[in-house]
Amino acid sequence: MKKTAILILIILTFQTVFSQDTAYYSILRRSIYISNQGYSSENFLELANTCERIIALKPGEWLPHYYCAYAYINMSFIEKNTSTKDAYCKKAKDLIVKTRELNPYDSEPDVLETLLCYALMEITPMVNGPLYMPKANNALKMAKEKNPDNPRIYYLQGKSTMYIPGFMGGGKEAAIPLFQKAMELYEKFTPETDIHPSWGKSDTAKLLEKCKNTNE
Amino acid sequence: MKTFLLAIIYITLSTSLFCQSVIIGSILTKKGKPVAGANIYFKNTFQGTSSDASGHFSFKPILSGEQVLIASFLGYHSHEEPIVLVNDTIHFSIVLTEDKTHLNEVVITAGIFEAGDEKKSAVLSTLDMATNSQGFGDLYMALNSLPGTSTADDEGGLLVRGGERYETKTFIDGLLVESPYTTKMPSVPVRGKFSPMLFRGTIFSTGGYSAEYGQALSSALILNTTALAKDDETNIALYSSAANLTKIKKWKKISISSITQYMNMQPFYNLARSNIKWEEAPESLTETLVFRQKINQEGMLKAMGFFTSEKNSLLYPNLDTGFDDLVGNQNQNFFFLSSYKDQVGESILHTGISLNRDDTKMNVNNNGMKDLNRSAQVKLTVTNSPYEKITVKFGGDIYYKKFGREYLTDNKGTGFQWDYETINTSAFSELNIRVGNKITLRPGIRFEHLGLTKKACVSPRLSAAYQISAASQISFAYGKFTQLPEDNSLIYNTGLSCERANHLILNYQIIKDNRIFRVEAYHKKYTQLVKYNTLYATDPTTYSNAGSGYARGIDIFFRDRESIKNGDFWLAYSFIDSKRDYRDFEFRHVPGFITKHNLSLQYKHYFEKIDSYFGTNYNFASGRPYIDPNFGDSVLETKNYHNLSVSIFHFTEWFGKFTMLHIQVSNLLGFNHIFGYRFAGNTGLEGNYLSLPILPPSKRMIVFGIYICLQNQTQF
Repeated sequence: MKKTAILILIILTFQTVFSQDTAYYSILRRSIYISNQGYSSENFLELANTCERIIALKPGEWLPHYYCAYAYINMSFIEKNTSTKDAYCKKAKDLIVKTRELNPYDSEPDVLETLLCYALMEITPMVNGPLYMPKANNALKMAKEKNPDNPRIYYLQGKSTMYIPGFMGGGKEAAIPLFQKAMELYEKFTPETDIHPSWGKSDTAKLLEKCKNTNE
Repeated sequence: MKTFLLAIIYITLSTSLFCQSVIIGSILTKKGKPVAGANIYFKNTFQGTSSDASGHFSFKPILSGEQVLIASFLGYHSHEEPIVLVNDTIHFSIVLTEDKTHLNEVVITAGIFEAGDEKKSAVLSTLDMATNSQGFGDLYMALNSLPGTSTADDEGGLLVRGGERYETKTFIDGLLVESPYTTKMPSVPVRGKFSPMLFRGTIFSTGGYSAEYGQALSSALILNTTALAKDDETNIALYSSAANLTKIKKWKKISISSITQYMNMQPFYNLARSNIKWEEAPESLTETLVFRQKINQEGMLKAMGFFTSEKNSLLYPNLDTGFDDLVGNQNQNFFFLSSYKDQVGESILHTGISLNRDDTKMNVNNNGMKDLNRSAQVKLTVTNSPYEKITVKFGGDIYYKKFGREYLTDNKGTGFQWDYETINTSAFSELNIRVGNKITLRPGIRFEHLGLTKKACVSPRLSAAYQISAASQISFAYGKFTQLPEDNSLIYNTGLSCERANHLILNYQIIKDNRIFRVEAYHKKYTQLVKYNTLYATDPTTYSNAGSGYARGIDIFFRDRESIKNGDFWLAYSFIDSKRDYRDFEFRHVPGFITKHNLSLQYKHYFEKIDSYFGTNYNFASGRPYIDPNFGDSVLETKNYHNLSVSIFHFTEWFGKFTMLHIQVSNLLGFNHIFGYRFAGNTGLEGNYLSLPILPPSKRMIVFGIYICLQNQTQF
């Protein structure tokens, strides 16, 4: 109810200020802001729904597709029911395909694909693990080729390295340089606009702290 | 606080606007349950909201006049509601209907096991098939871990519910595969010729299968090949006794794949002691070419060319002469298959054509026989849904076959030749009717005309399912099935009628979370089975359709992927009671390949941290029946069969390429397996029949392999 009210307020304030072309920026910005306030499925659903409304009107814009996929992937991580998780991931998959079509030279769709692979692996590690691990690694590789300075690449790489045991070349210690590199890049990183992807920084900091603490 | 805040907002809003409507409503499912998180917005605007946990929503759009309100939710059809906005509060509720593609239709499960990644009813995934700890990469061996199959390691292939190997037919993209197995040699199990990687979906019917298929007494294995490749790919697979090279090239709407396999068992038998005295261990070369083209929106053209050449020879003890016979075999098989599937108007059209040529030369010392089997098939099926709840499928095929056999002496032709040529036609029709939400009925009828006997026969089929609860259901299947006798009999007497079987199957299944339990009871009655005095006898009058038999039993399947995280437990048990009087049997008794109790226990664990599967499989089968002529007509049984096999699959990266390492060992504990005994044709010097046990080719089977994907993995 509160969110709805805020949304109305935002709509009212900005509808008149911005032209129709960039009108969605403010709406999207607000939804992204809300989704950053708390890691809950309500917030992500709000983001997904907002994005879908924008997509219906602006099917040629990649950012709404991107954020819609991002929201569904996160909802899949939060959701408990396996078949709902599956449905979310399927939805996200179609959206990522579309995002890449609209923005083929950017590294962000590849990064998001990696995140989706992790979500799929989380549903049934047994079945999806071997299927999506190579896909995830490949997507990261592609992202690196397009933009080696994208901090989210090293953040995700570090996250998956953390959970691989030491004798396989993983572990918390091995993840530290990756998180450090990610942090370094996050410091330098300035998104093109304030609605371009910028997630992952606070989690990187948290995980880096966690890795360091267990090593001492 | 909330209301206070809202009040302020409302005041702010109402002062800043002249025209203000309030929309208040709720979103419900057809059953009246609230839909939380539905997207509610006005068409062609960004204005909207989401429904809350109780399905309610309310918002104030800054719009006026005629508008369209859209409500959408994942898995449901979007709903559009025209609304006229005036200075007013509008109340209404919207009912969303479930998207049919998400609906859980009642699927008939009687006599059906599905494998694949696309359908929810699938019991097995493609990966399950590939990482089966008793499969060794053979599709048929992997399916042997399902209930309803017999453990007969000396036979190979699929022996389904008291049926012989030839009673199970393999269909690829709807077309019959004339020779799916390698050539049978004495005491050596056959293997499937096709790589499991060619298929994306498998339906394994243990009886009561669809009217679309015929000429199989017991079972149909329906394989659907993969669609358009997703990307360029190069894979290399190296096994202890084989090497595989796969190359896939993809263009926008076309993909071509080539799979080359070379297999040689000699290195393995050099290391492991074999119970068989190999002269030349099995060696084969196989090439598969796969072509795919996407045409229009829905159309898909598939073509597959397959060629294999195999040979092997062994020394087989002759109990009458006391010497070893040299038994040799050479086989060349060419198989071409093409199919086209498209949507024409409201119907789905599926056409297919296949060509097959199979040359086999078998020799015993200097004598032997040469078989040449040529066949072709054309098939067409049409699927249409004239009403929402009724789907009609109908079609037919023409099947041509020419089979020739020649006897050889000193490896030269003798002029003793037989052949037959036949054109068989068939037509079928099947209805799929949904009665309410809980019942599915599938009546079908199949008509066949056989060129050899110039006789027609009609086979009715009926299956049905009733959903008891969201998780459980009962299904039923009944059908009449016919099959032409095997070439080994038909070649000498082309006047033989079809062999017949009636199936009756009752199934109960419950699926909850990641657990599945199913139990199935069946009764199968055989009539008109072929009888003869001796195999390969050339006198047509010694062949007749006087045989008969039955098989009945219970199959139980339980799989649990829920209780243990990353663990997969599975149990398959079959009980069978079967007797037959056919072939050269002197009276009605249990055939030698049937084991009364079959148990397969499997446990597979995925270790996420080391990205590996560890699998173990225990198989038990009660003794195999045999008749010892030294003791008259009593049916004796061999020792029980125990087999413990293990497998490890490890996924990793080598030089940045996806790599899979695996090792599989069967009969780890080294049990001695005896599959029966064979006896001399005549009594020896001491007045009794000499015998030898039938043993597996080697005590243990060990396979290790490396699979490297040289090119990048595909994107979505």
